[in-house]
Amino acid sequence: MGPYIRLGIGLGHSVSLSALAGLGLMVGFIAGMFGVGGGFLLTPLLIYAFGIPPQIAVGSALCQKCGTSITSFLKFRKFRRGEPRIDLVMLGGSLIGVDAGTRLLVTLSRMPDFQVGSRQLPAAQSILDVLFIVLLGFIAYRTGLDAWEARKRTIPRGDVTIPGPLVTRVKIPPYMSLPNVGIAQISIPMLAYLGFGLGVASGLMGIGGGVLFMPVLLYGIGLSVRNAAGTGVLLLFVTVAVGTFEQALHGFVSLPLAMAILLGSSIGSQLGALTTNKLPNRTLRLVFAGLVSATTLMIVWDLARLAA
Amino acid sequence: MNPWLYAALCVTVPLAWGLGVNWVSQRIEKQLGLKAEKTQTIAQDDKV
Repeated sequence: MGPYIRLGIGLGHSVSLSALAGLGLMVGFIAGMFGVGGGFLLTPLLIYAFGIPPQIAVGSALCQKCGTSITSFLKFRKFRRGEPRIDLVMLGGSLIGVDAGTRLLVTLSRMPDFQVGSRQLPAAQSILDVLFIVLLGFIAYRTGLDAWEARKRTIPRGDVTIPGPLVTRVKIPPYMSLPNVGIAQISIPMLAYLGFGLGVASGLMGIGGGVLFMPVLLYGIGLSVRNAAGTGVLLLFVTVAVGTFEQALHGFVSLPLAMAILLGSSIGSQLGALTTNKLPNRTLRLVFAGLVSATTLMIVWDLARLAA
Repeated sequence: MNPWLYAALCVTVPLAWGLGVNWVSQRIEKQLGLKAEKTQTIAQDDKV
């Protein structure tokens, strides 16, 4: 399938632009269908299905997220959902985090291969493999569990905040009040540290962080689904833009690769959003858990193949 | 190419694309009258 691009930086083979756009279409469809960013699927698929070096996969995935995150930001700003002050407080930590994540990735890409018996394991790929297995395994478990528990729920929760453990148990002053979403007081340092963690995940793994952030907002802080969906879009956009800039300075971003994926994902996300209305929420969650489990197994298989 | 210029392009080109996609989707929504339906979709998110 042509046309092709030659990535040069340590890749040594050409990649079909059409196939990349197809990957973008698939990931965009999943993202649009389930209301997630899709970056957590994109980076592993670029590495394992296309043989892209991990650092280029991470940088280019972040780059294409600059396009998708601005669209999400504008969409949710229109609905005036969420609490932008959470984003602003987390932003400081997140910007430091994305810098730390990028530096970690640079260090990993320069590390010598691990010696396991007689085999040489690439350091960056092995560590990213393990991180993705843990992350995706957790997401698959959490979503599957949620879909299972949803059988018992008959009454929709509505737009009500039920303060979670991060609000009721974490008591690190100073605090801020968020009356728009029904939170009397929440620790500012805790939000900043959460932002740092999300930033590290973005810089190191090329994910937007939405997939980590949503459980924190829903189960940790206790926001309603509607408010949680609108919170974090500003944070996500600024974090990926800064992360992309920094990764591009290190030579980790292939703009043609990112644009080919973005082309596909722009169409895919619109199609996915249309499909969402056709299926019940519980079925969607189960399908999502299945897809994430399949990706996790693919990475486990790849890691086992490297080590065998 | 200057690395700073390339880095700036890596941020602005996808950003411009995203703004374009948003503009086009808004035009389509307006023409097809899908605005109300989309608001309803967000409102239905809490239903299991």
